[in-house]
Amino acid sequence: MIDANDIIKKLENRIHAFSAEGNVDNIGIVENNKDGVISCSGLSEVGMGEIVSFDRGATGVIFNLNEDSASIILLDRDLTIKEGDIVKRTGKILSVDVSEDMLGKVVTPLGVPLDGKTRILNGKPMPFERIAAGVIQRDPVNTPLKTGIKPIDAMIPIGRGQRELIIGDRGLGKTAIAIDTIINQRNFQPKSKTNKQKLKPVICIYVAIGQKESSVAQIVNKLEAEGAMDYTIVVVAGSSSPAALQYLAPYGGCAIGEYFMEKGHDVLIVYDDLTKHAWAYRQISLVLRRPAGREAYPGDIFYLHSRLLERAVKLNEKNGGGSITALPIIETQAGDISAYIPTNVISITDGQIFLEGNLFNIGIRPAINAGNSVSRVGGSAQSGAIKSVAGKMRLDLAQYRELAAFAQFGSELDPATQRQLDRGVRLTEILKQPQYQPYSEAEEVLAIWSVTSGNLDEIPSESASRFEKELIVFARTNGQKVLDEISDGKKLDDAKIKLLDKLVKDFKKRFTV
Amino acid sequence: MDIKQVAKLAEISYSENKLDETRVNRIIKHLSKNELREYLKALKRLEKKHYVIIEFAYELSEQDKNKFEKLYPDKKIIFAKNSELLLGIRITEDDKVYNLNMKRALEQVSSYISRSI
Repeated sequence: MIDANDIIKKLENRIHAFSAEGNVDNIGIVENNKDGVISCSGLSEVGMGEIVSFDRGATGVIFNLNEDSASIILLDRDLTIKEGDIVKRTGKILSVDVSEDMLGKVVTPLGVPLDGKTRILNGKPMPFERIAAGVIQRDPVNTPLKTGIKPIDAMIPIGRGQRELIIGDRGLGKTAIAIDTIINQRNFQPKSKTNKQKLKPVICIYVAIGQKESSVAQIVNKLEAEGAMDYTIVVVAGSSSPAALQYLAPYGGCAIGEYFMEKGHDVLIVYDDLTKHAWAYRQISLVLRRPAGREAYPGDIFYLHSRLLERAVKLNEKNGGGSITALPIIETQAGDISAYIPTNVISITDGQIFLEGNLFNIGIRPAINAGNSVSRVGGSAQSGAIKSVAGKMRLDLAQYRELAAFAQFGSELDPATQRQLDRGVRLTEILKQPQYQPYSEAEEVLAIWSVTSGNLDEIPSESASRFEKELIVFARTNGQKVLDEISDGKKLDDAKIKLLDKLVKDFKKRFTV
Repeated sequence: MDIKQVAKLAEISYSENKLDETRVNRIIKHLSKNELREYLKALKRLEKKHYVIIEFAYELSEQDKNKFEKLYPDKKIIFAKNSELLLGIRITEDDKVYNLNMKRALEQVSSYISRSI
């Protein structure tokens, strides 16, 4: 129980420490309020991006500075602001108070917890807009960020500090890839016993922009169930939020990430999705009567995303050694990756994971088109073990894709070609993976090696997927020592290959087709 | 006619820092509905630059009022009583507000304490 006298004493001390001075406010008068954008006269000393406050407590941000007026985007939904209301400068630029207390919480882009109970105390104000780290402050990307998804870790490896775009039509599993990646980071948290490579724990931030609140609630529930919320922050600007909040959400998420990065942590930020972010910015720009360009987007739509994604960085040891890895998501229409926003973001990022509807429909999930997907960081972000099995796999798959067209004609094929086709079918089968079941690196190596070594050649292709799943279960129960041996991340040597071979052959004896 | 030209018309509607009714009547005959709207906005903005509002909690003496008139010789001064200020004065000059009153001081204390707790 807090003593009332203590409270009174604290208040008295604070009042004694306070010094009141006359002050000068710079005010404006609201001239009109249109679709969440307010035009006001006055405010002659206000700066761009400055927070302003209204009489009834609502806040906004200066978005346009004209000769005689200023345009403000509202951060709260306040329907009571009317012509003639007073608006005041605060002298502060838009920032979010961040502290470790934010972990495990669902917050608005302004850092207000959405559970309504807890407040972020003693947070450090982190500005929404910030210049990205320069060339000298950066280190090359050479540490893997493991997604736990076989095709990605094998063929499109992501490094800490990279920007890897996830792009595809609606409903193909873009968010699923991001959520699985977040869940997989539980294996690298301090309490985890499976982090043999001693990788730094990753703090995850999921930024939901313009999403349905029910979808976000499902995601939060899933993260809680998988124990991922302990190291995750969810920033929400749902579809019912003002366009201004949807526009600001990714920058708020990035500001939160930079707080942890400056302390030396590795951070993963998922922006889901930047298409809706672009729509929100277009809406604000059109209401502000900024000149419209292609597809009615404003002229600086590229800069909107480039300045956000450039803040994903790997800092050198002198600057703390932290990193921000960005996984932006873009939704395409009818698989058109040559549209305006997709091409913009593809040119900014360090690679893309392209999800295809045809693959999804025939049951290949995750529906990753390995041909169109790329990681420009590549092998630098892969450990030796997975690199030694994945190199051959990508080649096998590429050859399989080339030959697959011929298989349709049913013509006679020579044995070598047939073998290649069979190998490709099995590879495709083992690369399938259910949602919310990320694999450890050792399990990924085991699964891929079992195909590339030819151990699956005798297994019928329709049983390949089941074989792989049961092999993993077998390895977890009977072959944990083998998994431990290969989880150090080093290149597979002869001894390790022997162990793998023995494990797979032991399992094959028990497997019934 | 664009907004800048309408603003220029608003400026020349003044003579000796006062709004000239004759000039205004002559100008408005030539303006369309939208231009008239912009003209009125510009006039309101300019009008604010020509006066100062001084609010006080307790009645000011003539001496104090004369001091303010010397401080703003080119502007029209409007004195208004506002007991919400509790003590002190508030001066509004165009878009600047000088707060030297108890109400503002108490608001500052309140926000200072709520930030610190």
